[in-house]
Amino acid sequence: MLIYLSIIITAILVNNIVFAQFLGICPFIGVSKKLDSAVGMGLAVTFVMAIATLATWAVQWLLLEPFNLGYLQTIAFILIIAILVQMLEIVMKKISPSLYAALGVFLPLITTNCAVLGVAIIVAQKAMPLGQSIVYAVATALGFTLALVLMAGIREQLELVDVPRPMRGVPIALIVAGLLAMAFMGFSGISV
Amino acid sequence: MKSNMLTMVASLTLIAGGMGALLGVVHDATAEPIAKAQELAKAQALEAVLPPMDNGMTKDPIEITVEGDTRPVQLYPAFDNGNPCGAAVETWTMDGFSGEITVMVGFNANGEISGFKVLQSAETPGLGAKADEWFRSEVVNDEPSTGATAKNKRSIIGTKDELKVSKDGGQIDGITAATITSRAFLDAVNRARRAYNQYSMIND
Amino acid sequence: MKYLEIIFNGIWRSNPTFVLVLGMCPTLGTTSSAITGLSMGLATMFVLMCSNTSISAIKSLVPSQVRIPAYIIVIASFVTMLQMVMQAWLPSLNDALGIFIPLIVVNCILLGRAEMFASKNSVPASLCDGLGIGLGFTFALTLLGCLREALGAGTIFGARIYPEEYGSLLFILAPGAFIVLGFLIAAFNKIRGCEE
Repeated sequence: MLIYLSIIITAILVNNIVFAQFLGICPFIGVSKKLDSAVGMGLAVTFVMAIATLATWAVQWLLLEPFNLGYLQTIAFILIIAILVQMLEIVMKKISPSLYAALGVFLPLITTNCAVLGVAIIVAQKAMPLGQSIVYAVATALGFTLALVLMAGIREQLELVDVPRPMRGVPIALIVAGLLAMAFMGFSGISV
Repeated sequence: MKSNMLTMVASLTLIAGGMGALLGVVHDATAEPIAKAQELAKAQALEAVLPPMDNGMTKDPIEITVEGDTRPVQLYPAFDNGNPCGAAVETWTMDGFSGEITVMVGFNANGEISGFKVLQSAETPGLGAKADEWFRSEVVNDEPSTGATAKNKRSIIGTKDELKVSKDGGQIDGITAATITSRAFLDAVNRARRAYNQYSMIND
Repeated sequence: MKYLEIIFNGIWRSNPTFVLVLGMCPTLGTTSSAITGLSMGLATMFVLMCSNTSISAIKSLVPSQVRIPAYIIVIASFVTMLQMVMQAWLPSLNDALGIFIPLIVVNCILLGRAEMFASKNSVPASLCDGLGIGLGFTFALTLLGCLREALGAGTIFGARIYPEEYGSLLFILAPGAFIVLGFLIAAFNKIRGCEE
């Protein structure tokens, strides 16, 4: 059990996907203006990342490795993720319109979220077993959600501040992210 | 282009087929150089950590799991005229500042550390390279003005025991301002030492 | 002269990093030194030029509903080729850039240029656009890499400019990446504001 706890803490705090690994920065900057949409995006990414990791894990170890097709990894993974996101959109629309109303707008953005493909590739590179892979994917996505929500909270306050004109928008957001990353460095060195 | 089911499927198939063929060509052209590059990298790492010997390394490593671990280390036995003369161990630690560090550690026929090389680390940029230098350099007299540091030691080369940083009461000085990385590095080295001991016990 | 204009446009007026603010992940993740930033920029430029050219060449064959999957297949194939070539002949660089090489696939710059430029323009124009945007991206990454390396380690492309002890490691670490890029974009905004 200890290994799962270690994976969870490392993925959320120590090696936070946004602040330490630089993945998923585009949605992090783009969708962190409002708290509501930050939560929605975070949940949608968690959902997709768990399913995508399951699917790419299966493809990696049941298809690519046995047939020695490892070099097709990138192309196979991105197609799986693209198809999966499309299917999720269709299924969600049919089964749960309320969930679709909440998360639907974020789904198309997730295909090009490098965090999803990044996690799929990391899990394959480290040859993690299925259970660990899923736990890692969910924990990473929760770390992403945490980063997004923290950022959105700060940016809502930032709206009221008189920022010098050239610094408005993205530059000030990046500097705030830098300060947050500094705070997250305090978690490095934690070991379970 | 007018789009219906047929043209959609046809065009996607055509593109996938075309790109697939192109990929196949590049794959064939690069397969051999890639294998060579990987073999070369491994051979260089082994050569860097082991004393000279007349015949090469065995290509297939032995997997040894040290007591208390779930993940094995790879041990490459070395032979001199058919007699075992040490080994190189590809070892790891998860205790680094940012998680995993992998190190190749060489042992000579007497079981002393003959060399090492940091293979991969996610530590602060530059620290991996620094560890590579630091734990080799013998500093006899760090501060000439006081002359008090004569017993301080950085180098792990030639040691035969379990190692600890001097902060923890051990015999090796850690890298300045990087205690966690130093501890983690020695943890990896100790894991290699235990694996080597298991290997040499079987051989004796 | 039209082509020169397209190239210059990519480098300056619609610079992918400073103006369009796309492809942030490799921009932050691979610029801890000037040389890795430069290499990442060139790698992306290579894929961008190949994908732009081929997508422009096949644009009339692709029905509009399936154009996105078609673009993804083309881009992913070129990225895979780049990966294989780098593993074969530049293994140490491949290790240094790590996961950011396969992640070129999801760099919004590539899909963005395919959709906005290559699918509407001729093959030579698309090639020039790929070159221009690629150079703009390389310029941004190299500049960021130089600044971070200089502030953090006291070197530029490995050449020492002041003693290491005076460098602030923070700039090589994650927070430095965000902060230096933030100030660079602000500086770019300021300069462009004066120009207009």
